[in-house]
Amino acid sequence: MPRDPMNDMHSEAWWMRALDGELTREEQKDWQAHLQQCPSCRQEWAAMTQVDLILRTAAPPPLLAEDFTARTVTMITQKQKLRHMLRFVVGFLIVALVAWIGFSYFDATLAVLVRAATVLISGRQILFAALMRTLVGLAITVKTLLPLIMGVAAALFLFLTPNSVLATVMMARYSQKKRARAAAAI
Amino acid sequence: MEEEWLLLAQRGEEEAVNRLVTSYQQPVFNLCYRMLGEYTEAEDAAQEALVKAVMHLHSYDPERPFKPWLLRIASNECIDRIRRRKPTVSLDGMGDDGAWEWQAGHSPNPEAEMLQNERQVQIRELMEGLPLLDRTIIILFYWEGLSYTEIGEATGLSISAIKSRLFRARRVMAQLIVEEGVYAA
Repeated sequence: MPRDPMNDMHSEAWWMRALDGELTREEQKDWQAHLQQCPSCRQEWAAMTQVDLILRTAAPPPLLAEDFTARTVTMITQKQKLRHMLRFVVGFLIVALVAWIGFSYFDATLAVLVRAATVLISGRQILFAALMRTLVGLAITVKTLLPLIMGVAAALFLFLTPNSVLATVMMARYSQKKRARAAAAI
Repeated sequence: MEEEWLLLAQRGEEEAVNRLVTSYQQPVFNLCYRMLGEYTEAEDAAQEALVKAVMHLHSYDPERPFKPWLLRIASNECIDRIRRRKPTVSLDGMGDDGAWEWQAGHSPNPEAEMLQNERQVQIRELMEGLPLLDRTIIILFYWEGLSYTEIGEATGLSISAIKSRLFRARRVMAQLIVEEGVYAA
């Protein structure tokens, strides 16, 4: 049957308890009796307690130089200032980089949008102008169709001029119908 | 209270930094001196450890005790220095750079001073046989008066591992005393 290491006087656990002064009074008596009987334990115990004594009674290290605190604090504050400065510079560079990328992208996007809007508006204006010229030509040549031509011209004016009211109303009605169809399909 | 001025030190308040350094410089230096055995190098290591600690205060957990955290930085600094200098220093530590030549005390009695000096050399010889981590544990336990829990905080080891390492370190030193008669009481 294996012995309990806590009660086995040759075990590390027992020796640790003995060195830390954790043995009970009864165990202490048993331990002293064992040391009397066991020469190897007695020799090792004497050496161990001597080590303990040597370490506990060692002379303290010398005191630090008087200017140590001032030198260390100066070094720390200098490093902290340097770190703050570095953080500021790195932060500034990051913000500048992000701003540069953002503005470049925004600028390019804006240019594309302006160009598209210009093409759209001028396209409608060119188409309107061409149709009006055709209608005027027709009106001159075929005078009897004048009321019809004037009606078509007014409709085109309403529909094709920029921000035309009719086009907006038609688009709104078209999208309403589309939504209604989609709802009906569901 | 300590938490507050640690926070202020982290923000760079000079007064708080001064307070931190003043409060902990001697224990940090003591550890470095015991580890390195040479005054100038120990002073450099202590200064470096304190600077590192303040610059890394953001990684300190205020729920845990500060001193073991700081001593851990100091012991790591010393271990790095010992590892760096190993190729140029003989194994018995008697290198030209004066490593392990512990300083004499300031006793007015030259005989007592000589005896103390001799003892320090003997302690150094005993400590040299230990792995660096065990050496740190011995220093924290015997000379810094840290509890097992605090040594655990400083070394990252469990209490049972610390007890076991401490016991084995003492056993190694005891064997050295018995076998080689390193220390004559």
